[in-house]
Amino acid sequence: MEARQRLNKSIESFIINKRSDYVYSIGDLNFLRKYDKCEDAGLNENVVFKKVWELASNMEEEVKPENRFNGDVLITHGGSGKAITSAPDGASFHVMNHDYFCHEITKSLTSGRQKENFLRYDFGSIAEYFYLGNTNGLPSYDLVITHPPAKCRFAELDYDETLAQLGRSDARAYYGVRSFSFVRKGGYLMVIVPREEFRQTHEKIVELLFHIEGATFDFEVPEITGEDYILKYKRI
Amino acid sequence: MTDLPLLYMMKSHTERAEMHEEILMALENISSSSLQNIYRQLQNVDAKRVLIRELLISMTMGTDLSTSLFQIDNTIGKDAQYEE
Repeated sequence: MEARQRLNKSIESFIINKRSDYVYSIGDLNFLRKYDKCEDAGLNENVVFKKVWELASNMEEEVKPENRFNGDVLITHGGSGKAITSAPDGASFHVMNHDYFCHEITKSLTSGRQKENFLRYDFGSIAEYFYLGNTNGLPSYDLVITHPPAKCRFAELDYDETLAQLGRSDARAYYGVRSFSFVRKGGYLMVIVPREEFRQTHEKIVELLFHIEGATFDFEVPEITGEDYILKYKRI
Repeated sequence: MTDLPLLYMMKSHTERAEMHEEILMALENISSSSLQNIYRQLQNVDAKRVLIRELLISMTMGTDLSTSLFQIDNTIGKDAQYEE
């Protein structure tokens, strides 16, 4: 077994075997930070989430000088830990993750922010809201951040056959489209996608959003050249 | 909301998705005349998630899905009666 795999296994074993009332030490937290099997392992907190929060701060003028974000935020999939630790004060988070170890690591690394932010950790996927056809009363947020995986079996269980098919072929576009259902009027959706799939994912999201939501959203056309990796949609 | 058991959360992505699929197939066949309390629960998005979560817990504990559905339907019915 490679050293990297051994380290991940050892972290998993530490999480499973700890007592339920165990309090992590600084050393433990540093140890957990070394886990690299979460979806956000490749995301640089100082680059990606700095940009996410810069974009979010531009959303409301009064937020900028105070460095606060006084709104509700939903984070689906990987990146929740990094998004929270780099977040401005005031934001209220609902975090959804369906990988047990990443869920536990996110909780352990971010619970210290509860003084400045309300945090709710949920084990699951937003695809669950779209089971069996009834979506009355979906929760809504000012900002939804998603860093979707390329494949996800939960997306294939969507009640809408077109979306279920999209879930099978392109889970990134699926979560981009479904995440927008949680954005309240005036709020934003930010989809973090790999650079090589940037344009293609955007086109699929726009096509399906028009089909499902009509002209209820606005977006910036992504540039083919450049280094951008965050797709941004506003509910109007 | 009841916490999900560790045994469930530790399962692989595929195993968990299969459990969800089995539950959804069972719920799809419910009509207002068979298990009316559960049918009502499915009309609300939050209640739907709570119900699926309860079924996942029972399934993880080894309870048969149809038995769990009848038990939950009965419990909701009794709770409603008590509230009246």
